Amino acid sequence: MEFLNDFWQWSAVLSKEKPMQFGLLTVATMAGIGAVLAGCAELVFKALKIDLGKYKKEYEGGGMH
Amino acid sequence: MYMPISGVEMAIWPLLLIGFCVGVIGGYFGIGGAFMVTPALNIFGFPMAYAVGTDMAHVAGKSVVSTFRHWRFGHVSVLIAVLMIIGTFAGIEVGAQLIMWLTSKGIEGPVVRWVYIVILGALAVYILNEYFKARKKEIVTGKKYTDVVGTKLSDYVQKTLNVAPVVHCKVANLKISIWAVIFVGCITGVVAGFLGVGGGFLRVPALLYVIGVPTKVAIGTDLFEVMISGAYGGFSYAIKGKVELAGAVIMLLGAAVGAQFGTLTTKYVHGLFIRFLFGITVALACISVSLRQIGWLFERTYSKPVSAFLEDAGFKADQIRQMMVKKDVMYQYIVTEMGKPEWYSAFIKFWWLRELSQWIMLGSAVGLSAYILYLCFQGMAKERSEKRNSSNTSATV
Repeated sequence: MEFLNDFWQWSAVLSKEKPMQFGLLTVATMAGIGAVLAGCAELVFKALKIDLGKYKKEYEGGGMH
Repeated sequence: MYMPISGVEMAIWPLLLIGFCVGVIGGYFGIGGAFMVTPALNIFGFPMAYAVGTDMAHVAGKSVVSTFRHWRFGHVSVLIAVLMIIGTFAGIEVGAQLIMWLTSKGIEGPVVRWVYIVILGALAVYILNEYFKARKKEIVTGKKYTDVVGTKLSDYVQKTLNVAPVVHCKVANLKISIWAVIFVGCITGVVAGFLGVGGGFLRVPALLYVIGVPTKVAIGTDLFEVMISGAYGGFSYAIKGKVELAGAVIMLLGAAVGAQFGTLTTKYVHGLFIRFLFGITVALACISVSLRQIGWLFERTYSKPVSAFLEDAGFKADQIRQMMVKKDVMYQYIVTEMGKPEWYSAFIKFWWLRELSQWIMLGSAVGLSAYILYLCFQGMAKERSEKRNSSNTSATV
């Protein structure tokens, strides 16, 4: 928690002093956390034996839906 | 928890809850969900100035999660998404210029809300009408309708407006001129820029009814766009110092989990039913914005003189905006210092309508996400039991 508090404080200073770097940090943090959580969820769903690959959709194979 | 950029103290659970709910809804409908997040954040005391930027930043991360899952399911047409993005970015700039022109005339607030109400209302009526028509047809023909792919308009766009180069989109199974897709992206961009929103609730219907892609492909494809526009929006707000990074990260933790469930649910339900719930969501948003518009009728009776009074008292524009929604502060200035109880009574009406509008959005976000979760768990249980049955059958054979 100490580390996180230091990080938030540092980001607050960065947002005031170096806005461009803060912009990049924001996007990188969001994309990074998003990607890591997507990977974790993949493992959880696999453990639950949920199929996450392509499947037969209602609009495939022609005809009226 | 103390938010060092905005300087507010806020509990973590509302951020996680809002993130989770909007993650479920966004993953299910293929939208960013800013129209739900911003009022919800505001209800829990997050300053409006930071609500939009923080929401934008978390959307960038959340869409990575949702887009990845939809892509695995085969719901994302990268080709259409990239073409739409080109048009959208150009359109947003035109929309922003339009809003600046209206601002210079001093009429941007009510005009934007009226346009918002008309668009949301028309979309809700069209989507719900289409759903009930399909259900009626089912009764007459005895045939089950699971999705309605294409409209007369999309047929015209695909077959008649086939100006070269025409591309074949495998995922959506259609051939279309790239100019048509860029043009549709541009129009939705103009409207999104004009309304000051991300525009997912406009692009999904545009993909369905003008381009003619199936519902699930519209959802996945729009999320790809939301991912790009969210990253751009998050960056843009961050360099203006309007992103509370701690808040965005906490929201993202909730949203990433919620998005998994929302996205997975699209596998278990048919496209037509997704449209039905989308129609309900749009209708609720329309009611919420309409209440804000009625509130504005009361607000306009006192807002200009009170703002001028506060400005003279030495407050800045940002501070005045925050003060204008606080009951005790307004009582002190309007009644005690300005001696205008009739203005205060108008303020109270505005305040209630504003609260009601925000609670409608928060309530619908919680209610819808709970229902989507129910559908998800139902689908997961069904899939697992089918797998168990098939493995039991093969073991018996």
